Amino acid sequence: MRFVAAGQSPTGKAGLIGYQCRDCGRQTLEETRLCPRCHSAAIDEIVLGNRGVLVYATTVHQSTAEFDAPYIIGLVRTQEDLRLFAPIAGDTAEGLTPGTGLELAVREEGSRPPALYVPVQGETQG
Amino acid sequence: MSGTPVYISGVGAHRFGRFPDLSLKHLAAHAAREALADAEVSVGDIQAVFAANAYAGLLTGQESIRGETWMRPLGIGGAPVFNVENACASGSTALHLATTAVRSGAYDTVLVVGAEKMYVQDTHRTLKALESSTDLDTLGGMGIQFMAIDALRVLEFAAEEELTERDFAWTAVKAHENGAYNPIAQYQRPVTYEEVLGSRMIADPIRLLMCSAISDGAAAVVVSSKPRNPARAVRIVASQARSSPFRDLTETGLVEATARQAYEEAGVGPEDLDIVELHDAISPAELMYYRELGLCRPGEVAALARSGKTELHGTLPVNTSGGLNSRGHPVGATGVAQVCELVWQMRGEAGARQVRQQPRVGMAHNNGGWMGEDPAVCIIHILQR
Repeated sequence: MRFVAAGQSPTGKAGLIGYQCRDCGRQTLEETRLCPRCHSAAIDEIVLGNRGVLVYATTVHQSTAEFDAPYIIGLVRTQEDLRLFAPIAGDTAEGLTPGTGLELAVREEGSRPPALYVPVQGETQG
Repeated sequence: MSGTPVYISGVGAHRFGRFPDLSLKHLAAHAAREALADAEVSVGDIQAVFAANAYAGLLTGQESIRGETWMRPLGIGGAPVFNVENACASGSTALHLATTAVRSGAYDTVLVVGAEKMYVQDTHRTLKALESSTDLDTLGGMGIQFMAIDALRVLEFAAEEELTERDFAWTAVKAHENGAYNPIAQYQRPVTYEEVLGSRMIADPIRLLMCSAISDGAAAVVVSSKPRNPARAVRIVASQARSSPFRDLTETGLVEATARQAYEEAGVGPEDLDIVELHDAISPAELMYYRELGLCRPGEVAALARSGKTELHGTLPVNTSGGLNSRGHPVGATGVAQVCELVWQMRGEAGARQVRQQPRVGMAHNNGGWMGEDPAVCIIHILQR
């Protein structure tokens, strides 16, 4: 998960960094040198939109060396229809229903996690 | 399978569990010696060794020549030792390479050893090592543990197949029932639904007793085109390996694609299977793989689970060993141990957990890591006797 803060983004909004094939338009979130669909080498690094939708969320109760539980990890579908696992703001997934609208937030340097999705109040899609 | 027929001619294992006083060398040597004795061969008969391990570099510091360090105390030198790492599928990857090498005619008899020591008295270090089985550029530094990924996959799958928390708990109850009869299992005690559903939540809906625990252990097999005792040998009729593709959700997933290839290679279908060992790194994953391995059709997972067919004395027993959930999951050993279990069952040597109808055709399914929408690697073997 690579991202850019609003201040550094050409869109003026925080965004995930993705890749787009100049020939067939295929977008990817993972580092891409050759297009997985048409094998073109004409790949642009792009900044994706800052919105997404929650597919499912889980509350993680097991701490790691870097992350104190409980915290939330979600399966997120971006506005470009790409899917990723990403941290969600908050400490319980209870009440976070599938379809909840999400907005990417890049946090202050040194924060853990450095970026996460924040649920958008009252916004739910099917 | 084209080329020379290839057999598993011997199997062996060191018990899975927590063994802070035993070295990785000790575990690997124990399993290897058992497999050699079972195959009725000596170290001098071994022409090559395929050694599987995932995390020794991070957990013990022995990053390189792991297999050579395990084999030298057994007097195995001269023969080449190949070190194989492919996350949780390291063991089955080593078996795949061994099978390919023997089938090609390059070697007649080789040894596969998978061993892992994950218990280092610091859970955080072990979790960090496990995290390295993802692409760290994509998933690192975000708190995305495997259990969270698995939990989200289960939630998505459960909605498609109308599975309940009781179905999830059943997978752990079944695994521990089988593991209770397995002398190499980490957990040799049955658990109740109440214990499973009362155990600590790890990543909702995955609870502690549904997880494969941190484990130490080793397993080994001898792979040969000229088994010393053909009456006890079990033939490898399919050995298929695939890596995670970039794909859309509408395209075939990794496990399903690997299974299709394996069935095609073996010339059998899921209806011909008598026994399956599958990759239940969390116990409810067993339900996902019923569908992806073609053991039932989409929409029929709950019915298959509730039918009892996959229990020890059902018509298609799954994870008679206790699976990763109860036998344990010392990562590099797991894929090899799955095949040991199939061989014991197919020879009628599984003791108290022996299935009633001695199986003729068995499948072992082993995944490793995570990338994109799939495990990073999937390996499937089909054995026939």
